[in-house]
Amino acid sequence: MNTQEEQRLQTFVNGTPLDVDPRSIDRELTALWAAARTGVEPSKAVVRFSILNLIVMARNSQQVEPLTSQIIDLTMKHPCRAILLVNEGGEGASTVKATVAAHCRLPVGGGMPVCGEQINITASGGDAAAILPGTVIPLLTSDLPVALGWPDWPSGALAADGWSLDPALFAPLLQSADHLIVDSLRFGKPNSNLVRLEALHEQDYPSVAITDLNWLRLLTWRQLTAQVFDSPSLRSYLPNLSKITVRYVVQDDRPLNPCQALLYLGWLSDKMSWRPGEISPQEKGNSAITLRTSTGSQLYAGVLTTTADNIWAGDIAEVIMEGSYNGVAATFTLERIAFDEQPQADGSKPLAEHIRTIIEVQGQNRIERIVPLGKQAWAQLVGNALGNLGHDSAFEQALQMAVWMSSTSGTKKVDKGVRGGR
Amino acid sequence: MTTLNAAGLLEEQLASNPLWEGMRLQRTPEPCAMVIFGVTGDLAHRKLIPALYNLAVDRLLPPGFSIVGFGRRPYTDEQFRAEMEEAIKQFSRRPLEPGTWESILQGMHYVQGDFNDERAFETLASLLSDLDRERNTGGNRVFYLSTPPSTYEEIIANIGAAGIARQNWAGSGWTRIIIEKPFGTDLPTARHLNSKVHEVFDESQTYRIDHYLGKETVQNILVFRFANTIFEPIWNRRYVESVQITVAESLGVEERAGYYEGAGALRDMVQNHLMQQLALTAMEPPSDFEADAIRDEKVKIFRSIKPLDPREVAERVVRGQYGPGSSGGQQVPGYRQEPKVSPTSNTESFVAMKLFIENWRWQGVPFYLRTGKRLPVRSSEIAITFKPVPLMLFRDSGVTQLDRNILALQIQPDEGISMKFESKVPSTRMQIRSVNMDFRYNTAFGTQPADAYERLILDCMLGDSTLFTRADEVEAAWTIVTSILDGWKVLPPPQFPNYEAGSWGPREAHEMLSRDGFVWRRP
Repeated sequence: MNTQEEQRLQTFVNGTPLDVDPRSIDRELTALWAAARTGVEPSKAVVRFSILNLIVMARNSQQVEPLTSQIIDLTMKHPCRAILLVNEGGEGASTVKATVAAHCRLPVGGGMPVCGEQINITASGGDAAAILPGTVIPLLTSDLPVALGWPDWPSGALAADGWSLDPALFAPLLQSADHLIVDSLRFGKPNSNLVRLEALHEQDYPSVAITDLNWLRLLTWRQLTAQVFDSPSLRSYLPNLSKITVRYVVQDDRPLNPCQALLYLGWLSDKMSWRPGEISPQEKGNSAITLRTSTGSQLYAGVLTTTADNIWAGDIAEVIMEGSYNGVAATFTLERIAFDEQPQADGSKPLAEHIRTIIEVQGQNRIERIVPLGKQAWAQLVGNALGNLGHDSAFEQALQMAVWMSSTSGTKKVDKGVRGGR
Repeated sequence: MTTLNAAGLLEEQLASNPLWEGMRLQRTPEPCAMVIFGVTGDLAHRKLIPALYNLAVDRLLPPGFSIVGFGRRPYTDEQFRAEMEEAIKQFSRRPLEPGTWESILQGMHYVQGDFNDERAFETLASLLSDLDRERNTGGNRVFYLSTPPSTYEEIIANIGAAGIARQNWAGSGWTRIIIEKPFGTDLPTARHLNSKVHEVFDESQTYRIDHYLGKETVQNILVFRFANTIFEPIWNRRYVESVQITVAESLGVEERAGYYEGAGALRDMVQNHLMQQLALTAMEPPSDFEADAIRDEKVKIFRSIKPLDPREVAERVVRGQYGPGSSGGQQVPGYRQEPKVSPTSNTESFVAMKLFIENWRWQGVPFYLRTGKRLPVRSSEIAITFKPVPLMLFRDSGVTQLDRNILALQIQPDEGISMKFESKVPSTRMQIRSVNMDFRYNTAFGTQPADAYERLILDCMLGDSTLFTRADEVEAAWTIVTSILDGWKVLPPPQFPNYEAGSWGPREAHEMLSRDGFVWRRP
């Protein structure tokens, strides 16, 4: 290996993108890995490892850096072949550029660094969207699952009407995928986008498992809700709930997005066999929903906005469930709170997000418990999704209910961006 | 017959929590209280309290969960809480974070008393009743015996006398007891202890813990065998030549001489850790992945191993004790020179043995077990050596010998699975060399596995006894081990020390294998 080759290899292993010929990406990677396995020096040898093909669609070239940073985080726990696509569009003849980089981590307990790889493919020109699938699909490693991550689905530069994607790009990629990862927290038009998401699952691509990262953000909320009713004495309240309030956060500079709140309520309704009643959309992103329980009694659910510092717009801030059993009233509250974490090396103290569970039963002691919300960064959420590849029937049922709850005349009011507080 | 309750959901449905259906998460237990006897001791500080804390951080403990420490030291609740906070800071795999810890503190109490002090148990009973009322623990309790085995009987008797061992104490709820190893010192003492436990708790309430079973890699033995189709057809006497199970420790007796002097390697390691690994490796597929189905199969394995008579003990069991030597580049003392060890001690720090499982699957296949202190490395592994190919096809090409295929399950450290097979060396002539195909946990999964105690404590709270040993299982394992202890009683005393610290054990252990045409693997 000459000096230039050594430098090239070191650039690659250090994670710096290395320009490669887009017509021979796989061949170049094979050569680089063969050199990296033996190492320039034995002490620098690495292990190439992959459990997955991950295709990530960037909206534009400005997203490459933040998405790369998230892919690196993901690779730390889920070494994979990540293919980051950028469609720069434009006019004229199409061109494709490609880079490759390795992302390495030291294994728990020691040993040679374990590395995944990232391939960036940038297409520009009039036929860029049509060229990308043909460049990407041959790069997929056989026998490994394929996840298509589309952080901006269905919005983004190519989604002029809010959800219709360029079929020349989206359709062939999704046909090659086992799994589509979207994020309804980023939906530009939440209500119509939820409908589109359900249609994608129900009609267009039923074999592709869909993961909504917003649904995964709800995991802790669902877990803690279920835990409240693990006690047999409190479980009796579950079918006797009469009112549920879900508050989600709005911020002045962010679009109104009730998807998380609707999915939560959709999940609860599905599990309790509550059926749709009426929806009374109100101003400012709030909705009052009537549900019918299996006995025919009514349950009132409010999806309300609130403002809060340090909580992302669209995230749930609070859930309150009220009911009565044998004449004894009870209130169950889950609320998001923040604590100072341990100081970091730079002296800063990031906020650690938690959820406080409060159980109040008339005539009994109040029970309180605080637990961490869990990491909600993209890499963690995608990592969670990768741990459970396959259809999630709980999500699919919750989505169905959420779509019903969002299908109101209030959509327009919400999308006009009229925002309100608690 | 099913009936509708007032709200219309079927009562049967409400017997379980419908919100967990389809949740891709570990279930959490019902609200409960855990009473730790011997809470001021080393195990509680290093393992139990950190395990509970980490379960809380992972949101795997229920609201209202309460911890009651029971010990002799005259602590107040505040002193107890402060000491446990220090334990978490020192031993938890995660740093202490204030929100979660504050919540745990709300349900943390201390009861001071001797283990034979009936009044202290009455105080405990009263506190548990208060917790049922104030924290909605619903009569659900776990008692954890983190005390010397000599105290087990009196603690269990006093729990019974205080009336807090009963199931459905508060009209509903469950009561369980976790008992640390060693469970007895031989078959008669294990039987006696089982009978004492059963005077107060029935078997379904009893969780005998062997933390080895909580290790991910030990649990993976069953997944490896029964979630893949390619290994089970060759997992028998037709294809397997021998099996070696090694649990090697590089440390000496350290601070445990007080216990170890009366136990030795056979009781301390073979009766539990090695026997469990043997059973998981050799058992038949269970009818269901359920506690009793799995334990039934393990018991069958133990019962298929005939107890050894003294002649067989002399031929098939080697014991050893380390003398001075070197470990980790340093001179280390021999066993008899360790603190609190008798200078004439005949306690074995090493044991190796050959066992046969007399059933259709394993008839004639030797299982070699080996464990010891002050061996060159810390390593646990199960190695399956397969029979040689029936015909040497490559003899005319100059290949005179082929190595056996070996499948090695590394339990710790460097957890993984490797398969050794023969491969052609790239060249124009026929040259064959062994190569390894390796799977490493830390390569494939970038996560730190949870501590074994976290998994086991949670399983107990959930009522899953799969990874705990049942009374008949313990007794069946002791039957084998006791036959060896009995054999040693009538055989000439050992000539200790008989291996150097830092070596792979006494010469006799190697000779035992070489007589069969094998060698011990070097893990």
